Amino acid sequence: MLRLRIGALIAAGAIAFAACSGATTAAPSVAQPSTPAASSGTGGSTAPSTAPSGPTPVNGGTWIFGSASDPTTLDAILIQDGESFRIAQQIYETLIKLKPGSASDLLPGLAKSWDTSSDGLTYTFHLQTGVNFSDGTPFNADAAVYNVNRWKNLPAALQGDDYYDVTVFGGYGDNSLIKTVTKVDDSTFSLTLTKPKADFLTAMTLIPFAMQSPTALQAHHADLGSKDPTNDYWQKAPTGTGPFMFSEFVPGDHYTIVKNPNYWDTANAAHLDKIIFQPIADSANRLTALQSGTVDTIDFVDATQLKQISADTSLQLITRPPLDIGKLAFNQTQKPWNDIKVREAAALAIDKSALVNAFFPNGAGSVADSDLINNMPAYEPNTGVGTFDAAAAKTMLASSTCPPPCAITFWYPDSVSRPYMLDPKGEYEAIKPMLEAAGFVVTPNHKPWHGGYLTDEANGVYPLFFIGWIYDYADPADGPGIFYATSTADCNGVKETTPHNCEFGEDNPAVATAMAKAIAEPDLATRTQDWKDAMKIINADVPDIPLVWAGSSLAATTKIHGYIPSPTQTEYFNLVWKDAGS
Amino acid sequence: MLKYIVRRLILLIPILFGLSIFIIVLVHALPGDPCSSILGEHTSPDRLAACRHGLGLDKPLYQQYFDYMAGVFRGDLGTSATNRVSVVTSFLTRFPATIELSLAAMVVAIGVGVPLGIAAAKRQGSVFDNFATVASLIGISIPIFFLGLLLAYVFGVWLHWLPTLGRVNLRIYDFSHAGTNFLLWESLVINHNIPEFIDVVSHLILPAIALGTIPLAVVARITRSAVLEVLNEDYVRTARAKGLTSGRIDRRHVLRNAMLPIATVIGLQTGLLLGGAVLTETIFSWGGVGSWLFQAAVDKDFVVIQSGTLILATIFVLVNLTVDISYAYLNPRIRYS
Repeated sequence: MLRLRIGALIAAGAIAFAACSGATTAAPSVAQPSTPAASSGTGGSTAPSTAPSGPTPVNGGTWIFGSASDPTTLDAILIQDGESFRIAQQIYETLIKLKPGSASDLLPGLAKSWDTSSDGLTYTFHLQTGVNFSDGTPFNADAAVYNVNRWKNLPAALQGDDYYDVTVFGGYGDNSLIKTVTKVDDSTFSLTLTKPKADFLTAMTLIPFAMQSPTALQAHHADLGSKDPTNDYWQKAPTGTGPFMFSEFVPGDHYTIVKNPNYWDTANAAHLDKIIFQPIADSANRLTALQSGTVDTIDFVDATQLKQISADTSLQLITRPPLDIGKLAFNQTQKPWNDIKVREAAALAIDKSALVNAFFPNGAGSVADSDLINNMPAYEPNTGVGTFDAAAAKTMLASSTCPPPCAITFWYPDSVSRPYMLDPKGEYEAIKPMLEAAGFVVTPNHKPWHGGYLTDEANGVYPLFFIGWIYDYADPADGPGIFYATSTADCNGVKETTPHNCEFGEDNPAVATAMAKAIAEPDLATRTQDWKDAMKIINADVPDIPLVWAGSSLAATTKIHGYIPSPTQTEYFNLVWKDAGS
Repeated sequence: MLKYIVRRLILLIPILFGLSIFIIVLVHALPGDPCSSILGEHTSPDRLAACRHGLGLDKPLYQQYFDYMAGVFRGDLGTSATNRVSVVTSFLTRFPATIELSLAAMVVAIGVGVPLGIAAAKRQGSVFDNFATVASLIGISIPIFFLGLLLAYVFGVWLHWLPTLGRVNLRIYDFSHAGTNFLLWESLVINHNIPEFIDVVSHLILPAIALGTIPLAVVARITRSAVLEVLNEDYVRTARAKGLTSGRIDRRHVLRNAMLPIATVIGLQTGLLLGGAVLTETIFSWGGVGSWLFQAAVDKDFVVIQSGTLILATIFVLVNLTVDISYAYLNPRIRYS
C-alpha cells in the first residue's frame, strides 16, 4: 500500500492488552519513558528523547533534508504517504508515542496516562496540561474530543481521501469503531469503542491520529475538502503541538518547518532552528546533492550506493532495521499453481542467497523464509518447504500435475523500484534460469507498476508475480492479516458469492479461521502463539516464496547527529542537531 | 494586423478542443489509473472500485470528457488526484520557476548560438566553421539527462563551484514572504540584495546550460545558414561595392534580413522550453511545470496531465503568435491580412 510507506505502528499489542485487562495504566508496561515524570505517569516531559551520549548537542542551525517528493497533504487524518508522515511527525503529536528507534515500546504523548475499562471498550485519557497549539490556542479535552469526533464523523468532502481512519476504525459515523467520545474535565476525556480492538492504543501512535488545532482547521476550511478553494489548511497553516511548526511550502521546491519557540515540553525542545525538505526525485541526484553539500541528509539510498557512501569519510550511513518483505507469489486458483507440488517445486528451485547477494548487496537485504519479519515476536523459521535444492525441485515437478516442460507465465512490474524489489526485471532474469533448471518453461510478462500492474495483481489476474509489503507496524495483522483476508468483492470482474481471496487465491478456511482468532485475541502472549499457529497453516499452503527482508537507509554528512532510525520510520527530528557553524 | 491576431486566437479554440480529445483518449488508453498510485500494493478490489468511483473514473470515457470540459468552461481545470491541490494553483505557483529557467536557457542559447552562427558563416569552410558545426551537432545529440548529471557532478561534487539543485541557498536566504515566485525579480528589484541575486543566478547556471544546449545548437545552425544565405544576396554585394564598413553591412543588411528564420526558431524553442524542461527540472530538482507534469505522469494523475497540457499548448500557440507578430517589426515588407 501507500506509496512510500511509512510505517508507524508496532507490535505493541502489549499496551492494548494491558489495557484490556482492565488495569489502570499510568504508562505502558513495556515503555521505557525517557524521564522519571513520564514513567510515573504523573505528567511532565514525555516527548521522544534519547539518553545523552557522545558530544553535547548544539542548538541552532538549518538542516536540509533531501526527500523523494513533496508531501501530498498535512491534514493529519488524511495522510498516507511517507513524505507527509515525515513532516507531520515533527509538527504534530499523538496521544501516545513510540520510543525512538523502537517498533514496539510506547511512551506517553499528549496523554500522560490512560485507563482502560475491564471490558476493553472504554479508554480514559489523562492529558498533559499547559500545552498549546502553535497558533496559541490551548490543547485540552475539548480539542481532543473535537479531533476524535472528526475521525469518527469525517466530513463527507474528505471521505475517501483518508486511509488510516477507515483502516483502523472501519468506517465513518455509525460504521466507525468509535462509539462515543466524551469530555470528563478540561484535561480528561474518554473514548468508547463498539467492540474491543486489541491494537487500539498502538494505532494511536500513528501520526494520522495526531491532534490538530480545531481553530486552524476551521479558519482554513479544512473540512470543506480539497476542491474548495478556501481550504488552504495544509498548504498554509497545518497546526499542531509539536517541537516544530510550519513555515513555508513552495510546491516542487521546498517545505520548511521552524522550531516551535513555545513548545510545551521544554526538556525535549528542538535543537535545530529550521528544517527544509527539498524534493529530489532521483536517488542518484539525491546522492549528488549530498556529496556537493547542497543537502545534509538524504533518504531512500539505493543499495548500489551503500558501498560508495560507506567509503566516504565525510558521510555516514543510517540504516533502518528491516520491516519490508519481497516475494514471488502464486495465485492458487490458477493452473498450474493450484497444485501445491508445483508451488513447492518452484520454491525449491530458487536460490534465494544468490538472488539477495546480487540484488541487495552490502547488507541491503537478507534471505527471507516467511511473510513475517524475523524480528517479530510471532516469527518462526519456516520449515514447510526446504531450502534451495535444484534436484529436489525437478523431482517434485515431475511428480506434479504439470511435469516438465511445465509452461508458466511470470509477471513482473516495470517503472518501479521498491525497497523490497529494487530491480524487478533483473530479479526476474535471475530467477528464470533457476525455474527452467527445474523443468519450467517461463514466459515473461510485465506492466508498469502504476500502469495496471497493481490493479491486475489485486484483482487476481496474475498466476505468478512479484509483490511485496512494507509493514506499517510489526504486527502480523498488518501483513498476512491483509494478504490473505477474504471478501466477497469481485475478482477480475467475476462476482464472488462466498468470501474469497482475490490476490493469492488463498481460500483455505483454516487460514481464515486461524487469522480471525489471532486478530481478535487481546492477550499478547496468546495472540503471538495464535499467529505462530496461523503462520504454520499459511506456510503449509505455500502461497508464496518469500525472497528478501529489506530495510532502508539514509545517508547524512558527518556533521549531523542524533538521528535515530526507526523500522517504521517514526523518526523524531527534535533529537537531531548539527555541528556548530555547519 | 488586429484581424490577423483575432483570427489566430479563434483558431486556438479548435486546436485546444482537438488536443483535449487527443490527450484524454491517450491518457486513458494507458494502463492503470491514479488509484493504483494512491492506494499502493495490496489494496483490495473494493477499495480500488471506491477510489475509481470517487474520482469518476468508472464513468464512460465520453462522460468523463464532458464532465471535464464542463469544468473547464466554468474555469475549473480540476484538482490533482494525488495531492488534492487545484491545477490552476499548482501551475501558477510553478510557472514562474519554469519561465526563469527557460529564459535563462534562451539567454545561453541566443548569447552563444547567434554569435557562433554568425562567426561560422563569415568563416565558411574554415577550421572554426567546422568546429562550430561539429559542436552544434554534439549539442543537438547529447542527451539532456546525461549532460545535466555530468554538469552537476563536475561543477557540484568535484569542483564545488556551483549548487546542484534548487533555486536558492535556503540556508541563507528566505523568500517565504516574497510576492511572486520570480526569484531573480524578487532578489534584485524588490529586495535590492545583490548577494542574494548572485546566489539565485548561481543556481540557474547549471540547469540553464543543460536546458539551453539543444536550443543553442539549433540557433547556431540556423543562424549560420541564414547569414550565409544573406551574405550571397545582391544587396550585400552592392553594399560592399558602395564601400560600407563590414560592421555596418552586418548590422544593417545581413543581420536584419537573417533575423526572420532566427526569430522563428528562437520563438519555437522558447515555446518548447516552457513546457519541455521535464528532464532538466527533474535532474536539478527545479520546482517548475516540467517536474510537476513528470510527477503527474508517473502518478497517472489524469486531470493534471490533461489540464497542464492544455495550458502549455495555449502558451505555446500564444508564443508563436507573438513571434509571427514580431515579423512585422523585423521586416516591414511583411503584412498580415
